[in-house]
Amino acid sequence: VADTSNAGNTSDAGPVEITDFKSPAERLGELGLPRTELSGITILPRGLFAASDKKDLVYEDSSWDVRAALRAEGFDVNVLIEPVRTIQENAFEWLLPALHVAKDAIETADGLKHLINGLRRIYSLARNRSGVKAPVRFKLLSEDRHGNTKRLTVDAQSATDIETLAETIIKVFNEIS
Amino acid sequence: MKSHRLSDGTLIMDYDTPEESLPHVLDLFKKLQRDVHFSIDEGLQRDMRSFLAGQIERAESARLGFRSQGRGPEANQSLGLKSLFSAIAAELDMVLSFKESRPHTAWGSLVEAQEEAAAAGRFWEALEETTVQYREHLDQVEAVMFPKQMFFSPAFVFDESDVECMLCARPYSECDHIAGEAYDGEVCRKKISRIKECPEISIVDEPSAKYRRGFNIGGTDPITGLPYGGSSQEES
Repeated sequence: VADTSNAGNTSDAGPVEITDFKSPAERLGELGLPRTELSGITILPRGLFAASDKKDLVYEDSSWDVRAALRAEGFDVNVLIEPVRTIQENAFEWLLPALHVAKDAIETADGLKHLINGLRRIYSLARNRSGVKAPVRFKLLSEDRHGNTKRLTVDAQSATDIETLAETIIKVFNEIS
Repeated sequence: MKSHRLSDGTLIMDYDTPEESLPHVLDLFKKLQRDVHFSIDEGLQRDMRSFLAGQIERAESARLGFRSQGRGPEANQSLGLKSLFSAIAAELDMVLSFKESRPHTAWGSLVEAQEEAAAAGRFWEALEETTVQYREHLDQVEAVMFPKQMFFSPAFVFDESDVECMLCARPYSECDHIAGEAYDGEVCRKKISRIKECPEISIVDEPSAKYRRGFNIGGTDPITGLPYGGSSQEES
């Protein structure tokens, strides 16, 4: 979701950049795939919004580690498109997959708590992979209570940035600007 | 708890659990770091290397023991200690290799030290603060002791169904293990049985594996500055 062609207004919440964004379900239709409304947490393939063809879609190698970290928090994590092709690159920076967080994943306090713990787990994993130098880039498509999508991007440098990301998810869900 | 003394007077303890040994291990690690410096006598450093080999062996033996008793957390902690001692042993190997005019071997040892240090922090969270500082030190060593290297980063595309978890033998995308993490004293690895494409090879500043570097850059050995294949190519 690095391209901005589908982006609307952008605003900042500290280190977190927030952008109005198209929903992945809508994008599936454009790629000629069955349009599925997403629930819970979904791992998105690289270049979902930039690919000209579904055959160009690949998942980050880190996707399954992210899935395991979120499963440990009780989430049943989905992937958007099957069969799954994965790309593994050997750059030092551990690239995280973009995640879609549907409103049903966070509408309860319990769900939110688990999501925050899951993000912490992912951050810790990424820090251990990428070492002490690189920030950890999170890309989330998060829904508000009406199902509108926002893109949240943060280059997390510390655990504090994860707390800020979590607060931003709550604000987005509650439509607090 | 039992104890014995090394020939140089260092007091070594035998603890019942890694947790119990932690303060002593961290103190010992600081002392060992002091003795890795280049100016320290080579004979003393060789003695220290033997001592470290013993510590690595003890940690491995503890890991196996805890595994056989079904004590997973202690087995992971022992693995963390093994990696911590392996890291500093590898740094010492780097110094000794330089003293023997084997700079390529020294590079390999430095990379091993960096990888073991990262692993130690993953296997036992209590070691993380120490290993983060130590990794920063090793990065500084790399920058001072070696010219900047050119690293290669190949990209591979594969079907997730062709990736297996080597701990539980299930498809990696379905199991809950994470590659590189320790579970009951064993490290999870994944096996990719078939690669479909290699769409690109990039040149990167910070690779995940520093072994993938250029050996011959415009006819020059980038470690020694000599023509590639020259007399100081101590390894093929």
